[in-house]
Amino acid sequence: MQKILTGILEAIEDEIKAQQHYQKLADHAEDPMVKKFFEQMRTDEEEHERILRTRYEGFAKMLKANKEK
Amino acid sequence: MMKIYETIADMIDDHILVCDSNGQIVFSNKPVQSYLGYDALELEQKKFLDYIADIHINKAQSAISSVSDIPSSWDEFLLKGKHGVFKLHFKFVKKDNLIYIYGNEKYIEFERIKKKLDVEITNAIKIHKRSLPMSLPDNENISFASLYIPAEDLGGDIFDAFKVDNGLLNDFFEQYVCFIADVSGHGLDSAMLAIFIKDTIGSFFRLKHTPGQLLSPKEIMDFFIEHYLKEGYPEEYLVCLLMAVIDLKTNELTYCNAGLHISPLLIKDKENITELGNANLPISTAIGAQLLKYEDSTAHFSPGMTLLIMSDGLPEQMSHNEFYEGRLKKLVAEIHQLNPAQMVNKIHEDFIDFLSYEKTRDDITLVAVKLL
Repeated sequence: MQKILTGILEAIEDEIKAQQHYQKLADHAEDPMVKKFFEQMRTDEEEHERILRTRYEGFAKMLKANKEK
Repeated sequence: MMKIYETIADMIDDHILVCDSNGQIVFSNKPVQSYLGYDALELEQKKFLDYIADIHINKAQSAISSVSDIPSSWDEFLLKGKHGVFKLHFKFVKKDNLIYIYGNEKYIEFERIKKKLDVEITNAIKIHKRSLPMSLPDNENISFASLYIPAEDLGGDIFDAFKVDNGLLNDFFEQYVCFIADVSGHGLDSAMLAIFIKDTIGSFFRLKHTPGQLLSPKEIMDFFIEHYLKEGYPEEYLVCLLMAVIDLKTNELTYCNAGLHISPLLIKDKENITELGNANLPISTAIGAQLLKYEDSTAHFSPGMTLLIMSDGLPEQMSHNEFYEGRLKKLVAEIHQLNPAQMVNKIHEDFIDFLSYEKTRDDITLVAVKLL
């Protein structure tokens, strides 16, 4: 179970890296349309990160309950 | 005496023509005169059939020739008025050798609207009934049962319970969602709103929830409120909604209550019956969005325990100047060890006994869930 939690944490890190990457691309983009596209990509990654975080909490809660039993 | 009858005939909205047995008009009242644009003398110079448009002449002839002392059913005729052709609905009846031809367009319109409304209500009842769950989860770990009695043909309550689909992560998560909503009123609008509630909660699971994501009733509630406010329902509507999530892996009950003021009962045994409070405000566009903020509450929910959720219809039903609430609580303490289906049956029987043939004043909705 701990492996799952670690896996999710790694995935969260990847999402954060991806967000930073897309933000960098957005910052450098001159064309407003391209800029908007990368910003949208960053927002998508933020949503992925949010889902992963609540999934992490779900697993953590379950793990805690199992330990208490 | 005749004058009195004529005055009465002129005061009512009905169109009245009286003919002799040959169809010659002998009397017309004011409404039919003003409708056709002729005065009484002009009308009495001709026969009824002389005023009928050619297209309906055969129908009118047959109505006159078959007239009897039993009023005919409504029929539609085109009449040639002074300034054009007019449509009127008439009934025919024969009395003392005179033919009475009378109609009331307001009544016809009322009948038409009533018919349309009846069809709409029948459809709404069907839709509302279809929105109620056909069956509830019942397996070796958890068992749900429900009681639903609408106050009128069309209910304003809705409820459901279902297992959360966690996709490939189903081995790790076993969660159930249960909700009860009580919408103010019992009419067509309330039923439609109840259906909207169910649809919106369903769309949360289609659009927002991903497998394994931590499930929070508050988040579902917020999603619902966002959509409810967007729809712009009138201010007089009130929605009381209780959302509960039961997590079988953590033995945890999480709930969020928007206005359902009858506290759910969490029953461990006869001496341990907890009322789960925190009802907060109901959801309404009359209340500022900033006040429609609800929080999750949690309780331990382990095998052997039963949760009872109900709308206010059941405990607040009165009979012989007494609320059902007190009797229900006593009964629940006695029957808590039964399975939900048996429990619901017992409550139903007891409630019918309590009613003593009185009509239920509000929708009755009860959901019982037990961990096994």
